[in-house]
Amino acid sequence: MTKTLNTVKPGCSCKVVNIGGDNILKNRLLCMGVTPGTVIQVVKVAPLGDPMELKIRKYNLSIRKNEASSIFISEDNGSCCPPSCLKGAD
Amino acid sequence: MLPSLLFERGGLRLSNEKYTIALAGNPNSGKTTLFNRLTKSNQKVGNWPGVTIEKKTGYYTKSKSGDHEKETVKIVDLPGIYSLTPYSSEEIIARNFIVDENPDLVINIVDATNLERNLYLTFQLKTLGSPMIIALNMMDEVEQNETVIDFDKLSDMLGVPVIPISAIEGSSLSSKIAKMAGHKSSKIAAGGIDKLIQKANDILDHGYEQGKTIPASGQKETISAESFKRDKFDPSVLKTADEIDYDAHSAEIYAKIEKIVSATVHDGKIQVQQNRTEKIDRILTNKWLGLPIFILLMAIVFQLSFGSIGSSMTDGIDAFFNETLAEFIEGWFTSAGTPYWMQDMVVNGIIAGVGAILTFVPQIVILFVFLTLLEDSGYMARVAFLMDRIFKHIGLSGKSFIPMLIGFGCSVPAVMAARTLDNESDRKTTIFITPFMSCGARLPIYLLFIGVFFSAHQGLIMLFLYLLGIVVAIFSAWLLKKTVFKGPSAPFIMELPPYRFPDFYTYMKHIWEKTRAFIVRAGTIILLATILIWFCQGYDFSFAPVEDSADSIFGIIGNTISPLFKPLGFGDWRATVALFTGFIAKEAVVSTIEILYTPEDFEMLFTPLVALSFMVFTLLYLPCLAAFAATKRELNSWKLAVLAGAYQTGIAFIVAFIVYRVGLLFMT
Repeated sequence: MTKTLNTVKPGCSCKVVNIGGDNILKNRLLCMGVTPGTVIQVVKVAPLGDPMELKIRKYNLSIRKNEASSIFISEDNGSCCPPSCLKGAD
Repeated sequence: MLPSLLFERGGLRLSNEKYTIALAGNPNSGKTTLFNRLTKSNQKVGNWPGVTIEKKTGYYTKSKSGDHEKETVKIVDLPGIYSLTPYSSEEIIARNFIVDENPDLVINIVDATNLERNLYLTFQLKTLGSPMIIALNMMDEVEQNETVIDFDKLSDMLGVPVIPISAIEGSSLSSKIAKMAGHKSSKIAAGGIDKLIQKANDILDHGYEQGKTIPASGQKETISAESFKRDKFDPSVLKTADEIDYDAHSAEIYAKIEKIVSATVHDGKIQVQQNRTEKIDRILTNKWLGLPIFILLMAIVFQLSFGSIGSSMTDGIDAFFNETLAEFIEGWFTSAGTPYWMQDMVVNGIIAGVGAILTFVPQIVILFVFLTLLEDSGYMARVAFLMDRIFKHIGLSGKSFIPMLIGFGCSVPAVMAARTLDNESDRKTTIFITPFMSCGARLPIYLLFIGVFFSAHQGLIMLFLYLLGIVVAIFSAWLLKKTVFKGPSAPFIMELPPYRFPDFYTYMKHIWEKTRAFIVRAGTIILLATILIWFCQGYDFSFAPVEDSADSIFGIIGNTISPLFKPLGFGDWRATVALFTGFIAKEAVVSTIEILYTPEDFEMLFTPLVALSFMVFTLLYLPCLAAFAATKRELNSWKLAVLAGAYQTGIAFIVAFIVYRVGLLFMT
């Protein structure tokens, strides 16, 4: 089973495999640079538990966990791996 | 503009014909600052036809090539957008402007510290086929990070001239202030804006094909006519947007961008701005500190705006209008022998009414000084980030919180601040509910009633009223999203821009624009309304002046309507009239009560419970005229504005009724 971005813990990075969800969401994410193969780092989660702060393509993006659940990520190194292990992919 | 003539690039032009430049770029890329640099104070602000998205147009003059005559160049500031997909109105506006209006040139401002995402829009703009220049902004930050960008290669690979700039530099005072704040200027981008203008003029004069040598950054001109084939925008794209394969489209563009960036950008070892932003956010969006700091910040801002500093200035202006100016005009009228009605209209109508509105200018300016700083520095995005969770439940996003917060100060800027919301139904809902936030002008009403009837529980009653406003707003948002403003809630995808010191000129301009809108309204619609009110309070239906205001137009109407308010406890005609005048300005409720009631009458006709019911009603009913006018303007519809007013008054009626009836049960 593929993991989704909302399950990734703060401080961890992962790689985008695919994006689901409706077209508006998909399109918005793609335009912002969330394309398959991109490395995303989960920076933190807001104090009340939602939304998440991500680091992608050298800028910071905030999306809700609900939106993050439409982003499928690779399980190459488990659902979560430290940024260092994805250096080669960067 | 004559579009048919403009098609002939480099061809014959009429001597006084204007050129048009479109300025396009991502939000937070410094677009507004560049626009201000290019056009100075030659600007016009309006709305794009049919929508409430701000349209800014500016002008600069250039001398005609090989001539001393001056030509005017128009610059249109397109909305800040991330892409040109047909999903948001901003993107459609930008796209249609470039395709339909055929600008002579598109200046695409690109944040050099965030090239990958910014170039996505560049690629999409290129397909629209207008001649284009890239203004590569934030070069000062790039240099600080010791990042090296190969401009020639970048220009080559993109097929578009690239001019490195640092938009924050250029204006003398503004750049001096930036330097004092620790800004390090860029060597590469020195004179960048002049070069940008020179390059733009070059293309305007000679057309794209002939624009050969660009002295700007020394790069070769490699633009070919083929790279700008005009793809006409097909409106049917809007209908078939769901069927477009964005997956492939976006992935393809980003793949190209990654290739270009890796070939032209050599990252430095340090990331000054990113590290700074990270450090600041470690505190400001901290799990434990984030929310307390935000509450503290807001408390300070409101204390400064509406506390002692703001209100002492307000008192000063109030004294000026109602004493100094009123006395002076009165004396002047008397010596000039003007009729009494004229004197009465000017002094008790216009000066009292318009003055009451203008007394709020200092408080509003102070509020804007802080809120604009928080907005322009990037903090407001963090506020939305912190608060989103709460608003998700009622169908709104954290971005709605900012207008609501401003609503505690004044509903007018609050309604205007809803512009920042990118989802139409969210924006409309927010406009409907912000007036429920108890604004500063309602405070005198509470102070009057609480002072007389609740002296033992002042703080408690005050807190109750403010909380009631918030609860009603949240309930209304939920209700409206379920009924009138249904529709899919937009995904919450928001950039958290790096913290930046705002450009001084742009910052001052933002404050001035907001203040100006407020003053203009005071001088136009409110001026007319105060005259009307003055008339209705002092004359009867046969237009004859009355001795007792009970016989005036308002008195008669008040007497007719007042039974309606009987179930709420205040069926007296004077209370009804006070509510009417409260529509002009909420403080007018206080002055009307003071004029119409004797203290004995007041304490006899109101009980503490009736007073509470009345305060609840004034908290929730139709906001003042200025706020109503802003609502109408922002909703761009009389129907919706009237609906908003009717909804607010209806809710006021119901809640005041409940308060009064439940209160009666406890009393007996």
